[in-house]
Amino acid sequence: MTEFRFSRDEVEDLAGKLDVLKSQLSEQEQELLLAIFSAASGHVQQAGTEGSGDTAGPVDLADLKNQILQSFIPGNAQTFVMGLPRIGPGGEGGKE
Amino acid sequence: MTQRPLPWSARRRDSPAQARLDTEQAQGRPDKARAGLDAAWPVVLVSMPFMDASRPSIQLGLLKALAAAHGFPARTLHANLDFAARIGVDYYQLLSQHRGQLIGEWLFSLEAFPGDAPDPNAHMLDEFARHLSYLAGPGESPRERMTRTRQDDVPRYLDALMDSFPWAEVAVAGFTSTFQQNTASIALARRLKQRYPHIVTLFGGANFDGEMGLELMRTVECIDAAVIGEGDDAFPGFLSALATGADPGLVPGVAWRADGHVTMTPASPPVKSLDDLPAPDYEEYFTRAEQLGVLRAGDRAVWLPIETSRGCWWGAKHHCTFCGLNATAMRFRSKSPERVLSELAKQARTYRSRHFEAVDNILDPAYLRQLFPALVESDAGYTFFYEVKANLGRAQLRLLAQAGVTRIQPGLESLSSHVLELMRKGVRAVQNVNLLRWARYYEIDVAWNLIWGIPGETERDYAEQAAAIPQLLHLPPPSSAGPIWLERFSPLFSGQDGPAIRDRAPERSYRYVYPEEVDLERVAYFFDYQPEGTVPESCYAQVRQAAADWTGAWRPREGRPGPGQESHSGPGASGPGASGPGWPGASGPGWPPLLTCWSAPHFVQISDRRQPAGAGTYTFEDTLADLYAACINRPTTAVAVRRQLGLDLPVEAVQEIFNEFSRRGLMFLDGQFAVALALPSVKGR
Repeated sequence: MTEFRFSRDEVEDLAGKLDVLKSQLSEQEQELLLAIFSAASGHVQQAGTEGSGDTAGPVDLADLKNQILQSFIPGNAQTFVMGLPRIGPGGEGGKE
Repeated sequence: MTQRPLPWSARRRDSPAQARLDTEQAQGRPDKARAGLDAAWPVVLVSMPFMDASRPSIQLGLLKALAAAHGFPARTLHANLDFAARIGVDYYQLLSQHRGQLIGEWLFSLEAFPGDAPDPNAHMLDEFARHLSYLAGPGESPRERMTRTRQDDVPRYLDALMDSFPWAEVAVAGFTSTFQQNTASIALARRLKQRYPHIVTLFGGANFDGEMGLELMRTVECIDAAVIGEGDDAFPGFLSALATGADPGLVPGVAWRADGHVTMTPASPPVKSLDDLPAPDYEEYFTRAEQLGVLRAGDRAVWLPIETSRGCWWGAKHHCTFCGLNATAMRFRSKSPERVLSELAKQARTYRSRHFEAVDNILDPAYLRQLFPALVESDAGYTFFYEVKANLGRAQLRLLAQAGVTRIQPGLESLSSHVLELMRKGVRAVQNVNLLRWARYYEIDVAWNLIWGIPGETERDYAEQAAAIPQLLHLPPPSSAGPIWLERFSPLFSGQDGPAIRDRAPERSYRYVYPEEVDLERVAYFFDYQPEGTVPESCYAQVRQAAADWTGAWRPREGRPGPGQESHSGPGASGPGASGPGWPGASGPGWPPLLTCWSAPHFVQISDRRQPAGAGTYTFEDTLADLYAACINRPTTAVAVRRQLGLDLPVEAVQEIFNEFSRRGLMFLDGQFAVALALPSVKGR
């Protein structure tokens, strides 16, 4: 995946635009868009932060509190379900 | 009450059974076996409205089996089914499930106390109109419907009952009375005594415990005898006394009317070994329910009552301040796991139902080590309801779920540790929340109440609960929220903790049911009162509203299934980590509320779908993820987590992070304890 950077303001701005589009999208489309949006956030390195390794370096309280501030992405996402491959008929590997 | 035995001979000569016995003796057959004596005393055990019509009476089932074990021919008559069939099962069930005002007792009071009933003009319906509005019928106001029930349905039902059962063959009619069964039972007993004076009427059940039973005996003449307390020994002892001509008034635990006076012999200690009791006999319930159309023929998906223990092991040590259960038999006794397993198998085979409703007041903790692992091992397909103590953790709830427990009633009562301490519940709020979490995760339905009005409570107790509840919307909501009901036998009632109430008086609806000569102070179980040492009523407003919103968040929306009916289909349902009921994708977006998480080493992602307006995703890495993950399984503390993770952070910093999680509604804090609120998104592990 191409490296992509974005700020929290950009995230919230985009979320606001999605709200404007809400009436034109079906419920399923809204869910899908937000799921993609949320799932991507888990893979894309956020602007101004470094990727984490297996072990955490020295931390301080202010840094942790700042991370909490940055941790939330609004939207009715379904990352956990829609990010999974489907198994069986109609799903990944299925014949239909 | 002092013991004053009276001669029995005058009464027993009136009975046709005794007449037959006398005839046999006169004919030179005095050596007839004892079995013959007992057989001359046919017994019918009756359960009147308003017992729940959807399941058999364990009282009748057990007493019938006990009578049979002692050689007495016994039948059971679930006469409540006849009334349900007459007025409609749905309407009947509404009445049977009504708590609070004595509407069921009021409906039968005219027939129980003809000429003496206190409310012939139905003023009770005016006083409690607000509480009874849900009882309106199709095209009928609540008043019209209940007046018709009282004036038309009740007398016709009693007439039909008198004409449709072979009462002439009965020697003893036993009535069991719990909740609102007193007046219907008295109404039938009165008619029986008028038409068949030879029948001996015996009453028992929770409504006859302690002085309640003695007062009813004193004032209601159609009651010949009452068992006060447990009946396992007293009931067959009473029958034996009748059969042998002994004085029933000398049977321990039996109150007996003779020559216009009531005497009672104090009860023996309650039965010690529940393994010695027979399994309840429910056959006649199914026969009658099917005959009346209350059950479809062959439909045996009925929750069979089963008793695996009696008393309360917690209450024996620390009597919860508001609890009036186990008036005279708090001591805890339970059946052996072997006995429970054999009884389950026998009842399931006999009645073709795999659903069991334990009538126990509290789950025996020893069953978590023996009975439930054995049930899992057996692979039996039973399902269970149990009342439990709220200190169960994840592993225990997982075991219960695996063993088939699908419904529990934990005594949660509050989400404030201070209030719980005042109640002597023996658990903290964080344990209550943790139980709700894992019950949801393992798909166990939870019935619980949020109650208030405890002497010593503070305004802060309720402000904190009102603030916490919006964070708990993804957990099972309370079934009700309101003030404590004052129950007879509770420590609050007895004042054993000091004066905590004033202006105590029988709950107002009692005066619309019983005649003037009945001392309501002695016959009532529920009481009105003014609390001492509680906060002003206005302090409950916020928590009341928060609880209503919580319940509302779980109310099925149009086109969506309700709890327990949730679809297992949907996106991802067939994939690894398939969604369970209520999990994302299971039943559409936005309902029911969800807060789920998944984790990898040093990574936690939380999906917050508790409220549509605040939906979103939290992503935590490294230390934050480790801190959150450490609080997922069970309540813990900042000190313990810091030690577990080997953090360089001071404890105060860990606590501050917990506070930050809590501010975002991701963690529940209770003093030094913390528990993550999110549930794993992968079900059933």
